Amino acid sequence: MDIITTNELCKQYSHKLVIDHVNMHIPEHSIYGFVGENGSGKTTIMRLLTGLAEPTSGSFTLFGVKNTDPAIYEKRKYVSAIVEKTSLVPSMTAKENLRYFELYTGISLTEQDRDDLLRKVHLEDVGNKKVRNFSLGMRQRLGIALALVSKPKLMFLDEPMNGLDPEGIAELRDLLIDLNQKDGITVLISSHILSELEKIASCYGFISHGKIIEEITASELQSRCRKSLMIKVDKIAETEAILKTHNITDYKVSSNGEINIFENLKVNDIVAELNAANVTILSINSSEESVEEYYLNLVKEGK
Amino acid sequence: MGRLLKAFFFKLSKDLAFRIILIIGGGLALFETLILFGLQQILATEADVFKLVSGQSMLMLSFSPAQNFGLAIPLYIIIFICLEFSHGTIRNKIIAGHSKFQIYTSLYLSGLILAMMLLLSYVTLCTALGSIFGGFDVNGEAMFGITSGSKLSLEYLLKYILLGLLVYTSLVAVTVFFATLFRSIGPCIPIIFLLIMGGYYLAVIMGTVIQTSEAIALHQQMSGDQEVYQAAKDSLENFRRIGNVLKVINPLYSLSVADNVDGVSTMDTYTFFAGIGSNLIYAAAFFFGGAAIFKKRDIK
Repeated sequence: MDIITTNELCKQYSHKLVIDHVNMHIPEHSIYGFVGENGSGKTTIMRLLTGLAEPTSGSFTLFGVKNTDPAIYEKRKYVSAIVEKTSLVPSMTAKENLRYFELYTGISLTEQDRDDLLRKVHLEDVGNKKVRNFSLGMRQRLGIALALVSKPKLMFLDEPMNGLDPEGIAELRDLLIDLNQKDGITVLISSHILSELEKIASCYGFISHGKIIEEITASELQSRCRKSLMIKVDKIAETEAILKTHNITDYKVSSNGEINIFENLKVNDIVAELNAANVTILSINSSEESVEEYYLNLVKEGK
Repeated sequence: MGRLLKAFFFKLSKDLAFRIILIIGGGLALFETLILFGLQQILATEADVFKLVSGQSMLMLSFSPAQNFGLAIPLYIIIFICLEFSHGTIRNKIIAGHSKFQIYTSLYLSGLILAMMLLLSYVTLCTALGSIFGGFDVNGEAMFGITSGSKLSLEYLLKYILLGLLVYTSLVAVTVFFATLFRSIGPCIPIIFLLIMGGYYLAVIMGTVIQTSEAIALHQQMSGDQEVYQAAKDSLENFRRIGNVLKVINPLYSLSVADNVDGVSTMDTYTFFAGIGSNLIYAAAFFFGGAAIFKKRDIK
């Protein structure tokens, strides 16, 4: 079952269509990795789905309720989000921010619950320090704690790894996996750190220039990602000439002298010919296309 | 709605700016009283008792939105609301499932509660300090304030207090309208300042023109020159008509000008109901207009 579906969703600013007839399907209990270049429309879609912006046309359903139905306000109580920036009151402490959030969401936590939440995001030692004195990473973690106050069923996280150190990124990754697997929380997450996204996402939405170009599950993506043979040599021109004699055209040369060959080939024959041509093979191994490469190929094909 | 208001009170209790503005209000009340009392002592002579400070004069002074702390109240509301936007708490409230109308209404009610809390504290303190330094002064001996030189009737006092409170329902509606429209402190402060001062001075100038015209007409009537008297009477009628229009379109009018009939401050029925009507119309127009704009616009 999809927790969110969008139907020809559009958003126009002045005369520019920034979200162009988007149809998305976010399965319940999934971690949906939202991938796209800067300005592709990821944040705008999150803003539309969280009610911060109104669609110009099209619609969406949240927990099966259409966005124009007043019942959507009730459903939004099961949603939490960090979109663009964490929403905190700088003159309050971490606990006061939690309490303030509790009051307007109508949730009542015990002191123990608040301590547990802060411990979960490693902010148990902040004491009476005002949020204005927090580092970016600490604010980000407190934002996540706020997002967890309402025990949501759906979380929108827009670039939540921004400002976190490597340890913080790993902790957030583990926390999200935990929330998804133990509590069944559906997560829609965008991140520029695609290698991190790859470790947690169970499905992906690829977006470019306001259009969803593909939605795919992680297992489908894995099977679709092209396998390649990566050869690092000292003479690139000669190597390319040899590949052409074997009618191999689907390869990519990177600036550091690596050649990624995406076609099946007889490795022994190529190696023998390279030796014969006095080309030194510095390294050779097989690799798999990453999410980033897959996305870039998708965008390239789209163009 | 109740949850939003509870959260507002919690935020207010933690707000340093709120404590600062309370201190400023207290300081201003004391400063004004002492300045007026000091002036009174300097200007008074043994032969002539000169009074500036009294409970009545300070009461009339402190109720006007155009006087020092009266201006500070909408300015604080602007800061409070604009920070809700810049801190992102408005965003969180929308994400948490509050409708934009609920949020706008809560901003208006929060602003109104804030205004009433600040205003009533300030007025009470000013009146108390004025009374300590010069008695309440029912007869209006203090030569300061719009009711100076005339006896204060209970009817006028009640009408004035009611309109004084009511004017904040429209002033807060206008303030919340501009604060949610611009969502930034910069442009809101000069707009609110100009509206209040413009409304106040327009009323005072018109009131002065009418009072002067009344004096001229009376003088001409006494002098017996019927032609000049008729011209002065016609001018007075015209000014009164303009004044009556102003009473409806300027909610500050009835708080800025008082009539004196046989030595007693009065407010005629037309002025009173024009004051009530104009304030309610402004409050409703800006509240519903602001809510409609807020509903349509995206939250950044």
